[in-house]
Amino acid sequence: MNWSYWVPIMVVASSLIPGIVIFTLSEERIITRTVLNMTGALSKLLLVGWMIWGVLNGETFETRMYLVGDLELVLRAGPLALIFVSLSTVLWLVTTVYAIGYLENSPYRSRFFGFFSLCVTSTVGVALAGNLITFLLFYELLTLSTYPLVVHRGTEVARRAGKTYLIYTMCGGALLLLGTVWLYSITGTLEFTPRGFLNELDAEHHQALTIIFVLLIAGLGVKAALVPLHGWLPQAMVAPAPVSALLHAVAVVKAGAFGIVRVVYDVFGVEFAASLELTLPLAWLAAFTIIYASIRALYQDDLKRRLAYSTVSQVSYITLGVAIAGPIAAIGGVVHLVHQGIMKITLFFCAGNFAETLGIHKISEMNGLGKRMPLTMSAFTIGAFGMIGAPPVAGFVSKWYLGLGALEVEQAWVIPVLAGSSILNAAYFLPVLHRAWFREAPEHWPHEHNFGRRETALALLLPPLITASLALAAGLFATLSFSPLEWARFISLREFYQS
Amino acid sequence: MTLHTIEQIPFGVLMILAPLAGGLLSFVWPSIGRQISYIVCSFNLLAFILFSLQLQQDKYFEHKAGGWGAPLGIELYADGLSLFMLLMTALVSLMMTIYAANYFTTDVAKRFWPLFLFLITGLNGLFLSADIFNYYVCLELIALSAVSLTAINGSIQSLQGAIRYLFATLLGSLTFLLGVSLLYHAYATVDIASLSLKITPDIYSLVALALMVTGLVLKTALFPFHFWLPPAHSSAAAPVSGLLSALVIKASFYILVRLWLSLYSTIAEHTDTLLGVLGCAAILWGSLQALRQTRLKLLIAYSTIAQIGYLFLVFPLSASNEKQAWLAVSYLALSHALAKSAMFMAAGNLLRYGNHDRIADLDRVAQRIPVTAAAFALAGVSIMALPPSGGFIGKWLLLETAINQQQWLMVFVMLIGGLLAAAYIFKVLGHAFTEADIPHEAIHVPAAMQWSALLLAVAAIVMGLISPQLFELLNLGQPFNTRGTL
Amino acid sequence: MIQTSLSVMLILSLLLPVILAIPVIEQSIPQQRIINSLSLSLAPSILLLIYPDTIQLDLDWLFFGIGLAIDDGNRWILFTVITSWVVYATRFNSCEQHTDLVISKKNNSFALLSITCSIGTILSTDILGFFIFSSIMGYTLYGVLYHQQKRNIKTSGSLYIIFLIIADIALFDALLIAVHTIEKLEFDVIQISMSNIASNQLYVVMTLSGFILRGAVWPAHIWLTRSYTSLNKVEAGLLSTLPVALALLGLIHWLPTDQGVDESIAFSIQLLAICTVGYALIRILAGSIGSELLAWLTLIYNGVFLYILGIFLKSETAWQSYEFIVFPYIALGSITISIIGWIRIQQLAQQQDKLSQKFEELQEGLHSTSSMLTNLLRQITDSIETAWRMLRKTATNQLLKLFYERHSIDKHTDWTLGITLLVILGIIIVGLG
Repeated sequence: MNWSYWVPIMVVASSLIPGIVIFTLSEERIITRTVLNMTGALSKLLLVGWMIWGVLNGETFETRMYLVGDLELVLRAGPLALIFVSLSTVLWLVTTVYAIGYLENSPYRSRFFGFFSLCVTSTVGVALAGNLITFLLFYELLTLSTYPLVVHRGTEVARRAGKTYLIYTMCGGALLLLGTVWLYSITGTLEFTPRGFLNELDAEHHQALTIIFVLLIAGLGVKAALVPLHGWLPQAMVAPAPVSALLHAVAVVKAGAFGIVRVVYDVFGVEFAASLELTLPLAWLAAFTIIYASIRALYQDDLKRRLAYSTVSQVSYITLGVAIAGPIAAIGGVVHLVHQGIMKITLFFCAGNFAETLGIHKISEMNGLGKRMPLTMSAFTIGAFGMIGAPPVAGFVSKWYLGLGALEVEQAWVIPVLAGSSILNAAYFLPVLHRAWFREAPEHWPHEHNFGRRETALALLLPPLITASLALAAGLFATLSFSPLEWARFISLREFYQS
Repeated sequence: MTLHTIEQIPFGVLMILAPLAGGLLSFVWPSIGRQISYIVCSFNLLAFILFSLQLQQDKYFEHKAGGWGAPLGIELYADGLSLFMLLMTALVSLMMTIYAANYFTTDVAKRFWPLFLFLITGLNGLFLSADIFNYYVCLELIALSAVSLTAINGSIQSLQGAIRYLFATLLGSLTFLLGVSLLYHAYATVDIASLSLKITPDIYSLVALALMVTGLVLKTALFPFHFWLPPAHSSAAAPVSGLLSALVIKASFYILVRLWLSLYSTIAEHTDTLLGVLGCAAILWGSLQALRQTRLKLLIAYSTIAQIGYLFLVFPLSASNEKQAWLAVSYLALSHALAKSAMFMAAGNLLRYGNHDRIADLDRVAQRIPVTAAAFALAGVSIMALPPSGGFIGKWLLLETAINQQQWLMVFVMLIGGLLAAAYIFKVLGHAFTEADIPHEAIHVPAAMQWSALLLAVAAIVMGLISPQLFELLNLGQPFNTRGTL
Repeated sequence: MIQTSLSVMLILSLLLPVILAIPVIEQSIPQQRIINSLSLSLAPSILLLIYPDTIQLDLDWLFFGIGLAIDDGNRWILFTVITSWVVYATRFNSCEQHTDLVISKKNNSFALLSITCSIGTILSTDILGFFIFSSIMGYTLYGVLYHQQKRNIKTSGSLYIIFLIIADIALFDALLIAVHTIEKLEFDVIQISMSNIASNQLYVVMTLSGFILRGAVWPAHIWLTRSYTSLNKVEAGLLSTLPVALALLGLIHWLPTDQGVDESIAFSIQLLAICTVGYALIRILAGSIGSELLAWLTLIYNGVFLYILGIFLKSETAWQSYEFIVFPYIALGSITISIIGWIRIQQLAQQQDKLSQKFEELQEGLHSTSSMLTNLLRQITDSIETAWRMLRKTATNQLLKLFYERHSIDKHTDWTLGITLLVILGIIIVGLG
């Protein structure tokens, strides 16, 4: 039996099967559900570890089956795929622990965890997709499986947020579909190829290819929340905290950003895209998004909304790194995929902890929080500094490579953008930190739950601490092998610039 | 029985005879109608499987009833396209049997089973026929049983709907018959194969074309001739609505496809564009109307009108002899049948559960009867043509053909149609997750009714994953080589 | 052997404070156990200071690889910084203000982190390490200095952090330029190479502006005067030795002192130095008293240094001749100011003369302008968002309305229309054929 054929599909199945089983469980079977969740998460981790080990040893993992006509469903573990898969797998594990703690005693947990698993399944599928149609398939599946999580609370507000989410993502999906079909009708293949598969085409197609590029990027830009397609993200904040954490750090926005990386590098090829003069406008758009969303974040009092706008801004770093079209900037963009993930999930975990433990949702209520919940607040601080791009947190590394990459290809205008983003990030995170650490705590918290000696439940406390440590480690030990940065370098070398 | 003898059994014929016999039997002994229907429909599926295995070898099936061939006798013919339609009928009818067995009260059921089995007879007969007069006969059988089924639950709305439906469908049948007789007058045969050799673009064939197309278009409820469909489909009992939307309208569409493939693809040069434009209009109109509805069953009925629109896009798209458009549309037809019947079943469950089908008052049904909600959602995925589903495969191929032919209007309409479909389906799902203002009492819904709906919906999804096999089936006997093999 | 133990000391002097800083966050640990952690954490660095040997250590695994070293030059600065930390630690434990358990624990942690970073800044051998450590130190020092919730402390704190962030960005950009033009980042390489390259002007300007913002040179001294007048003397003692002295250290490390730069830049530095000293003198003569005096002293100290720096940058030989006085000047000057601050028993009430008021009004004007600007931005982005949303909504709504308000065929119950249409269809088909 050929293992390397089956491993990618097993990675996908390791969350799909528990998810489907969980749907059938009744509410009370907490232990079975937890065991299923954890088994799925851990086995996925093992499988991904296996794949990484194999790829380093030159093995290829690929699953192919016919989908329609000549098109195949391809799951392939390339370096770029692996970086996203490992991110989702690790963060899924952590988020599962968190969600178990967070949703304790709340209704509809079977449904929640079921869709949660489906969500991860589709994210992993998006990551492993070896051609554009497989990508599209899982991308749409992701839309579908996150919708029930957005409307999970079953309130009118949640329903509206879900509606907005769908309007955006469905339109994006339609554009993506059109772009994909069109591309297929021109090229007859959709297979992701390093350095793209379009540069051989005749010049007569170039106009159509430009339109296709715009279609694909617009379709993906909805999920990647490029301005002006970002409107759904702040609204989707009505979802429970583990969902926002997952939506923002791992699944949805990353799927969009990852798709942009794929389209630019593996469909068009960065040089070809640059020769069509497509990358520069994309870079401008990303830069505008970075600044604009940061400005919007300044005025949000709701903590999660502020974080949401921050996400809009930060995810565009990835797009920017890709669109700068140079190998070093590529490292910065790809590594930010991971770094933003771990930093932002930390922030959302912390926001969830504040809400769950003390009933705090607004920044104006956060006075003195550092005294009441020092560990959570420390994790939050690390995440926030990472977002600002202050050393030694991971965000610094991303910014460093983006800046260098911009200089390398003589796009110096990026530097002020990065600087502006840092200033704005500082402007919307530091006041929060100041409140929490230096202001006097109020007499009573809005809804305090007592967790005994600890500041909050252990299942809620550990995940942010773990991810915060990861974020620190990713910055401190950036040059060690297996660090996200080294992987990003590996990708940049192997997928893009190996002649 | 040896393998050899099994190979000799004409399963195609049995697939007509079995439901006919079942229908007669249940007419005579209504009390065991349910059991008969179970047996007949299971047999039907089994026979279909064996029949398709036979066709794997022979590629197509020809049978001269009573030993008399064309032009005198009745000739049966089947290829991949017929198989596809038979598969659709077999799957939907089996699930519908399970569903209906739990749905109807005893005395309604007594009337239901014979009509249901006659309907199956008509459908199977139609899909196996090889001449246009036979088409007419089967069409009448289908129409009459369908109309009676519509009226079966005896409410005033359903009676009104049924009457409307009756007139529309009779008008359609008669127009079609007129066309048939005209062709017979001109070419002295009703056998499609012989006709396809003889036909020339003269006034007879043109008028016959016009008559047949208008008749069939009316019966298929293509916009703007859909006026009879929403009242009929929404007022009928849930199993009946499912049958009507999934199978009955496909029957007349199937005839249109057959006529087009063998007779008219070269004669009618601009009619295809006209039909395509009407198809586009149907997609938009149906979707927008569906979006506007406040009642679940009406919403689904309008959704059917929109989906019919997609089917008619095949005529302009196949103009430059593109086989792919036909494949796409056959796939769409099958996946729509599965998904739409599942959807009507789910709607029936919801109607029974809350005793109403107001969309805004669906009170957290996603949590309270999750299987039904899942069935609706999965069927919705196929209707929205999102991957991975049969609808997606069909739409993908259709889009690809349209783009290849630079038919940007159709591309645009298809995309908008998909978005609108998502809008109206998620309108329902959104309320299914949300707490309503008026909490309603819950009435128990039998598990069989829920799971049969879910199974059909899952089948529509699975279609998205096994398309290579299904296309192989569809291509048996090369049904889409125009003016060819019949 | 000695080398090894020195290396261990070197690493420990950075690591120990961090290790000690982590547990004090946990609420459950009683204060008695942590109370001496400040002094304890300084032990390895004191050992490092008194052992008269130099050592260089390359930590390839940290960040992108940074180097640490102790040599004769930075031993001076290390001495100053350790002294001021020791004073802070002893005062910290006895100070009445820190009765609140949690506040003192939190401050303790911030102080410990600042210790690590300040020592790291001094010991680093390349501009990357210097940047990273000094940047973190800037933030943690905020926690040490501006933790009280008095109004004037908050104002001075926010001024401090704004200057810090802008300075950081300038330095970061300088760093990027350096990496882009030359691969190596060691101080000695920078000092030679940066002047040979065309883009060095930008690098020099960025570096200068970064450190001038951090080190309080006229006219960017406002945070320093504010801080001196608002902080208590224990904390104020850290101002001249940590942010200011380390900024000066940064200037001599980052700038190509060995090679010289463009004349005009050197000249403007000197001009700035003269202005700074002059301004400070005027303020002192105008009768500044109390802790504000310390700020003016610091400004003079900075100005004198800048002037010398200007000389270095002008001529290529000056650095080699006068290098030996630079480190003692930075170290001793700053610690002198701190000592003056500590031994002044009473903290005099702040007084402001007219000139200073004018100037600060100007600064506050800037402040309010910036808040106006942010408000304006808010309104602009708000209206963009609303417009976009409105556009989206009205577009869809209008389209839908357009459709729904039209007379719907479905309302026709009469058959005439349907059948007429049917007939028309038939005719059209025949016609088309």
